[in-house]
Amino acid sequence: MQFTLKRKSEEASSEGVKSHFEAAIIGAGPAGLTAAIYLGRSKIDAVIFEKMVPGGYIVSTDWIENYPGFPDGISGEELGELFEKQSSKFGVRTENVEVTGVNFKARPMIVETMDGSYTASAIIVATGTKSKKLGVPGEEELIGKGISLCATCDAPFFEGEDIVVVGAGNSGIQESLYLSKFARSIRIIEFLDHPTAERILLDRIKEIGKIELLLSHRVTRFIGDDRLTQVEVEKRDFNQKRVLDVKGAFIYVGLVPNTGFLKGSIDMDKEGFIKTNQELKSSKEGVFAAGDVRITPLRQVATAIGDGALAAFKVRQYLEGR
Amino acid sequence: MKVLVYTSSSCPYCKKVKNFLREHGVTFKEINLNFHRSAAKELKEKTGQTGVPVILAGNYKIIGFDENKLRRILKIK
Repeated sequence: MQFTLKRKSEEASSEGVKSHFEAAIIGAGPAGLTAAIYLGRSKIDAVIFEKMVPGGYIVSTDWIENYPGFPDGISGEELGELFEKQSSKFGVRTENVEVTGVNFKARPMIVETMDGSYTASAIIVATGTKSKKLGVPGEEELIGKGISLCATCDAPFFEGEDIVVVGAGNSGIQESLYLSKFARSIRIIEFLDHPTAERILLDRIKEIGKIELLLSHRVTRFIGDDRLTQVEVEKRDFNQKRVLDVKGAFIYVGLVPNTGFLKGSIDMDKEGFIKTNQELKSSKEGVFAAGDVRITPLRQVATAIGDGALAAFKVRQYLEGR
Repeated sequence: MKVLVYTSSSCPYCKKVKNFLREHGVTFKEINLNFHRSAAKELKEKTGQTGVPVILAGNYKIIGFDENKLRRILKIK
């Protein structure tokens, strides 16, 4: 954890407030860490809150090949560490604590954490996303007992086993490639009649004989008492159900935003993604959103980086124009 | 109390547990399943778990990063 020696722009006035900052970034993924680099270099007194470890969702991504600057690819974990190393050079203070609530109506605004409250004149929400679950019977009970949302975390448990991966988007296919180093066989279950992953990834799974694509199918149930033993799947349109004997299931069916702590304090869509304008301003003055957490047509490291830079730039303009 | 922490290389909750234990001066032994692949099978048989982190502290088993449970069992204030 790094502590800045820079001046505090304003003293905390409210009782019980630990510190005041000109800007607060919530979330230390690619967008948040990029914003920290830009704010730090502008000598803006800022803090970044992270409840887990810096790097965000990418730290549990096996391999990233579409982020420029790494022609041979790089593991998500290593890329996250490099982002953190670079951002920590510029003096933004890191608080390794969970943000539990906000008050965007107060001025300065209030950020509540497990360790107390902070105030800030501008805020960037960059809390990213987490894996979406299927919401079918048996899922909740068997997570950690055969069902996993993180291949790079849990793959060693499935050495020599038959498993399924749900979802044939980029994440599902990329993580299937990683899982193929452990599992005996992999069936990828996709609801659509075609996979949506990049062609380069699809070509790779063809090269690995043990991966089979099961298109136009959806999972209807996970079965097992204390461990996953079977997955029930249904063929779309034909209503035909069958049961696959498996020991593991990895779920990659999309993302949900980490916006629960905002409790509806800014405009969001039905799923909880934050509405922003082109300048990444949210519906509340002084609050910006960057990266995967906002409504955006593409959620990639490259797009999050751009968002982080733009949000920090707009925060700087906002603070200067007050 | 002997503390064993089962981890894997890319698991963010594993890092969170290790950081927490180090911060509070708890000595522990780490078993990274990426480097000890047979340990995954043993752990699965012993605990029924197919996810990390798993922390074995004396006779207690803690699944995931559960700060309250860690504090209670390891007597961390």
